[in-house]
Amino acid sequence: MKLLDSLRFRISTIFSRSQMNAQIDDEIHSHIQHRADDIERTGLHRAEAERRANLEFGRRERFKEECRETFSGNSIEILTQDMRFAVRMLCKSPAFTAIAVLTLALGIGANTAIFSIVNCVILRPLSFRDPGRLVRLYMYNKQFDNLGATFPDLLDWRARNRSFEGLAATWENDSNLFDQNGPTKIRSAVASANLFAVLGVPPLLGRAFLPAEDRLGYEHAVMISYGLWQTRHGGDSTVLGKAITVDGTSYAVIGVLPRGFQYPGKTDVWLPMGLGEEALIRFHDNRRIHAMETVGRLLPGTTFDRTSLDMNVLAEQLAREYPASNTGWKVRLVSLGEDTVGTSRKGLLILMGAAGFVLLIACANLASLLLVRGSVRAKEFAIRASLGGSRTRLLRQIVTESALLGLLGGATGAMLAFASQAAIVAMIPKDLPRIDEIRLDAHALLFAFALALATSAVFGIGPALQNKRVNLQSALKTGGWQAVGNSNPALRKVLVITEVACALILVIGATLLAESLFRLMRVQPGFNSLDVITGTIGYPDSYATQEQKTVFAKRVISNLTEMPGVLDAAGTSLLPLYNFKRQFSPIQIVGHPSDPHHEPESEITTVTPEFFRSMQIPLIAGRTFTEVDGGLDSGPIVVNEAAARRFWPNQNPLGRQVRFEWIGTVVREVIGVVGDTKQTSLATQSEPEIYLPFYGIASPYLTFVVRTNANPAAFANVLDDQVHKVDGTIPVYDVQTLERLTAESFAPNRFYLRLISAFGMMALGLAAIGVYGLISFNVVQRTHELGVRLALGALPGGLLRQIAWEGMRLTLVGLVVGVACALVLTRFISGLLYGIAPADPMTLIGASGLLLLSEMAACYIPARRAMRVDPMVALRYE
Amino acid sequence: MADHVQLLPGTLDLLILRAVSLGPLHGYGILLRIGQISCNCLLIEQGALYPGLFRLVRQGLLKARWGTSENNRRAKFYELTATGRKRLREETANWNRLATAIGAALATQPEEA
Repeated sequence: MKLLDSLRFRISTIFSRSQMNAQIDDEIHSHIQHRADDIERTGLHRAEAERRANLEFGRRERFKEECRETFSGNSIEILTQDMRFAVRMLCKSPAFTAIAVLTLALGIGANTAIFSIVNCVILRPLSFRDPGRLVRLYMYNKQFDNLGATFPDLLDWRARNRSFEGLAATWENDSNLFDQNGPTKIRSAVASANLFAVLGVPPLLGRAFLPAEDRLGYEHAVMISYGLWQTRHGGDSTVLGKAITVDGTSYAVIGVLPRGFQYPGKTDVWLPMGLGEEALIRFHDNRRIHAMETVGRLLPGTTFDRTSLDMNVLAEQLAREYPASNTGWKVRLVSLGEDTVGTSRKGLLILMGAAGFVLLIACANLASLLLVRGSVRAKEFAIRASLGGSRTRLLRQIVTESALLGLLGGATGAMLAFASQAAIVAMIPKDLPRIDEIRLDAHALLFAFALALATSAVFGIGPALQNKRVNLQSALKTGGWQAVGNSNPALRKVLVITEVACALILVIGATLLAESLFRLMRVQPGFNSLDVITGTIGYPDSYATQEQKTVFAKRVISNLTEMPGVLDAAGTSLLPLYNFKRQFSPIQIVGHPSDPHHEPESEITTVTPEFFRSMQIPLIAGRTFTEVDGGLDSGPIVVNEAAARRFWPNQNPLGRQVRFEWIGTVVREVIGVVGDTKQTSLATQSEPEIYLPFYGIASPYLTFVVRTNANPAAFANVLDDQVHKVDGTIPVYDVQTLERLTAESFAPNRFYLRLISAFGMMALGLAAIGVYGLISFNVVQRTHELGVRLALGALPGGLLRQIAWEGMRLTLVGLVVGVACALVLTRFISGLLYGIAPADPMTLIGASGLLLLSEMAACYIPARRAMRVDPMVALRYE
Repeated sequence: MADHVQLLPGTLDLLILRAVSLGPLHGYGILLRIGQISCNCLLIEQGALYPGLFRLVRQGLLKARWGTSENNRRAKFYELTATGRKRLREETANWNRLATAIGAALATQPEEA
């Protein structure tokens, strides 16, 4: 009841404000009349009595204000009133408002956009049950790092460990899907039956795998992703029990996983571990094939470190039991969250740091603006204070105004972030994990507004507190601009220096990245990427023999070559610079002593005879493959220059022999040496690469390379048609021009460059606004003085130099500070740089020069205005 | 005027409650009553009474209504609510305890001599 009364009371006070004022007036009037009555009784005139009564009453307006304040408490009424006033004040100076809001919006927009990426990729927990207890297990020894477990190791781990609730294994593949909608390429993963239990994600529909399906003689069952269910089956729940064909084998759909479930990668279908007897037997027996990507859930109460210790004790036991295969192998645990984010963390944190600098500059600008505004309004506040406005009330008014600015800035910033979101996500390199989860969610919005309010509160209240110190009398006496005199020039100078320094750091960062990208783009990849289109197929299981694969490849290539506009066509197991996990294979070089700890290794690529011609990879010595080169039992090889240098330094590699244990004991002879191509990225050195004839040892994948006379993108359909003419069930995927593929290898560089130069540009603009603001404020403030000096014969040019110099002096200090900071900070981006040192002197000079120019312009404009001051007007100014 | 004492912060509210406890009064009347019951030795700025009155009404300790005064003028009369009466009792007891304690403390003689 009491609450209700209080509420009614509060509400009534809001709506009857004028009524309340009248009541207070009435009451005070009544008081004074009563007092006057008493005074009159002592023998004075009524008028004199009333005058005295009035005087005795005291500071009437002040008491009225206090009454009103007690009445409405700290509540909505004051807030709405302050708000209304704040809106009015902001509308009255649209230029100030626009600059302040825009400044804030840039800072907050940049941070929100980056935060939403960081939040989705790094901060937001993985969508598994209790993801903190999930770890990835890797095996490593002196030679290899981050390999999976072998199948027998996995079984031993499962049987003997004391730390895990469960250990699940997967391995990923590109697969061909064939269903009622035709062929398509998908990502498949063979998964142990307990995978979904270990991750704690039950299927949305149907069931998960049964333990029996882990073993030979398994059911042909498949689980599909939510995405595949939606796109290929229209989200129809009758999908359970339907047959789909994966890599030529038919499976019955037994379950659909919930939306957003991604493990081990962006997987479309999960196949039972019992799959592929041949492969399985191989994995079962072989303690050398580290194919099982293992994930485990820690038991409650076990720690990460103890588990790591336990697992390595186990690894030593296994090494004693199986010395031939397990000696020297250790186990590394990585939390699943960290494993997923991987190397992206550092880049994203760099971006967050860059965005932070933009915000810092924006804050410095805002603080500067509010300082000036606070001192300009000193007189207004002095008047209000003398009319009875209490200090807290005035302070609250200022805080309301800056909060309103903050909200406006935050809202605009959030809109900016929202508008730029799609563009940023489109630029993100494909290897960033969890990209499709990125969105501007409630967290990001909350972040934006918290940031906006905190910024404006800190930078709004600061000047307000300073304002408190303004001497009422002097403020009222001097009035106008003179009152502005002490707007804390030292603080404003520090702010300008900070802005310049931060802007310089960003500009240097952007310049370094730009320089790196230009250098990368000039790197020769070792082949001619112009006018080539490529596309990949995976052989279905029905293509079991080498003969079948060869026939298919030869027919497609010869068909392609006959098409008008096609100059050349070839096939390869793997394109250079193709974004694929590359693997080195151990080789034995005949005539070299074998050292088990330093086995030579090389990339192995199988290619058709036309490959080097189509790619325009130069032949250095010997010859390349012909149609008849091939066969598992014998066959020539071609090596790149890096292999020739590594394996046969200062010798003629032609005629030398190599053995590959994994394809038999046959000795293969080097028949040719070709030029190096860039393999993993343009920035890295070429590694040894050995080419085998595709028509002898076909890989399960085949990438077609088609050199055209012009406009290769137009040949996408041609490639597709020619493959389907030979086999309609095989999908062609990753159809793209070689030029595009090459460009993708510097996509991350471009991504960071674009964002950081955008931030650098904002920083440049904001810092210029900051200096401009300072100088023009000084000019306005000194109009009177300048007028006097001009009247006394000072030369305008001298004045201009003097005024501009004030700004340039601060800029120079800022540049020195900025260079010093940049020397420390640019080391963090050295991983993103190519061919340029983080402390590149030309870059430091260039960036400083750019900043100097923009600040010069910012100083010049207001300084010129000062020069044109008319002495007469200036002297009459007040 | 020289022998007038400044009010301690917070005591004005207590005086108002006490003044009104004897019967409904308007603002000026309250001021006179306080003077009367405190032997005219407290210095109260007249206008300062009103924020205090508003505060007490706001807290629900007083209630106000418009009426006609002994001078035949319109005036706002204040009286205690039940809560106000209770608060007056508590605050009076508190004040007495405080005054006794401080009095006792100040009355002690220094021990070293």
